[in-house]
Amino acid sequence: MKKVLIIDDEKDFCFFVKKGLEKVGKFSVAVCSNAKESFKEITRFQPDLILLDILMPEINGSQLAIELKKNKETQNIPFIFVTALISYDEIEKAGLNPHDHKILTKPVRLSELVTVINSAIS
Amino acid sequence: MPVKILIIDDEKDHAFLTKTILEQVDNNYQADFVSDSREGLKKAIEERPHVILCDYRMPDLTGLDVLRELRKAEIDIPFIVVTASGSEKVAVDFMKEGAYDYVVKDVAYGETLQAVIEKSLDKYRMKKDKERLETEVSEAYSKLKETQKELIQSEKLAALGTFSSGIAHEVKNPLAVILGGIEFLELTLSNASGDTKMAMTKIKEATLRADSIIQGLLKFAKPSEAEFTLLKPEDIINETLALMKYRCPLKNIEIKTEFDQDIGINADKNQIQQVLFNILMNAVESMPQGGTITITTGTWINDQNTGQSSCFIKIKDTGQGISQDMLPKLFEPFFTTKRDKKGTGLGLSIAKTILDNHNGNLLIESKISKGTEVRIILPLTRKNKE
Repeated sequence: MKKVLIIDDEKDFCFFVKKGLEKVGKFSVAVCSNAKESFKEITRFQPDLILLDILMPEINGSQLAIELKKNKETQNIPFIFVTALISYDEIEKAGLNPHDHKILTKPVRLSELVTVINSAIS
Repeated sequence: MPVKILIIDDEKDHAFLTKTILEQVDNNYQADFVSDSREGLKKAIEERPHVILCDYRMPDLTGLDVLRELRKAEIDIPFIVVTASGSEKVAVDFMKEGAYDYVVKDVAYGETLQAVIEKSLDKYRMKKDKERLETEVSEAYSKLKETQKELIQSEKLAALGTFSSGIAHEVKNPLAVILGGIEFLELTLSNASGDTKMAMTKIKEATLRADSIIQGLLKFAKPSEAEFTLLKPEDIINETLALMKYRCPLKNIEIKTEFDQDIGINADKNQIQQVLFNILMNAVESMPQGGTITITTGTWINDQNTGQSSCFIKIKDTGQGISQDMLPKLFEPFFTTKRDKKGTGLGLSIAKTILDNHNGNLLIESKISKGTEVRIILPLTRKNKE
């Protein structure tokens, strides 16, 4: 069973996405609502893919992505940004080049999320 | 430039004397005289001399009649009345009617004539300068008011853009929770009753509609920077049609196209695609029973002198049409005739904003039960035979 880690400070969103991915996508899903603790969770859970929010308190998604790429243990884990940011301007302001990453905009349908995750993992 | 002076005086000898004096005192004066007052009036109207020297007492039209006729025709030529000595009251009457000055036929006539003419010419120039300045001030004021209006509008839009971005982020997060929640319920309550399932479907649709309103609002209030490239209109149209067919099956709708293959436009592909998509979706939704959409591209010359041309993309449907009283409101944000069909009322506002940013335009003609014709106008970049 493929493992997906959701890193997002919106706990209710994480709850429903976890339930949906488990039921429809048949994934094993873990949630981390505190980005500061995400490395600990990655080490423990060993995900095949990470769903990553962009705007989060303390550490934002783009900083976390840089750290993931730097770290030998995590650099090969694919990640998909799932964000409420809508425009390229805002995504660039958050420190990301929108053309370099897979970015899904909230609200995202479960069917779309499952398709994108499967495509990234395969 | 010579100063053309018209002398109107029924006493030919005096008129000739005046002409001689004038040409002697200043070789820049070019005097002409007419002894018939009606003929003098006609000449003044036709030839527009710089100054008129007019006798006051003449048969047929008097000097005062000539002056009044000129004023009636809104012809402003420095008018100097020539009066006999002791007739200053007459001169006052003339001045009240708009004469510039008067000169008395007396021994000093020759000496004062030049001074009076020059004074009248100065008065005329000052009057024209004042009028010109007043016009310039008035135009500048209008322009200032217009600029101020545009500035307020652009500041409002900028504020709306910032505000919308903030709102979008704050609203999209709870929308994500609602959508996640309803999809979770759909999974959990797969055996629910028809009413419960319908309720869940309605909540899901409403959530997605709220999301599309947010997206539309952002596109309207904070359009992204256009990336201009040379494009062929038929390529964007064909791509948009393919996207539409993917998004909604075009039931009983025939699409006819007629493209001018030789035109190129400089435009942002995604944005023009958005414009086409919004207009085509309106056309499709106006024909629930089916119909025909005809898409034509072409050019026309805007200005025969400069040869400046535009490209047009005409989208004509055979749908329900729009009533005349609705037409002026079509570009107002959130105005929709499709509230029951989940219209956001932003499609045409966004299209208009995009086309304004392309120095283009959007024109709509419609008749109830006859259909609607939308013309997208864009500056033409290239017209050649390939």
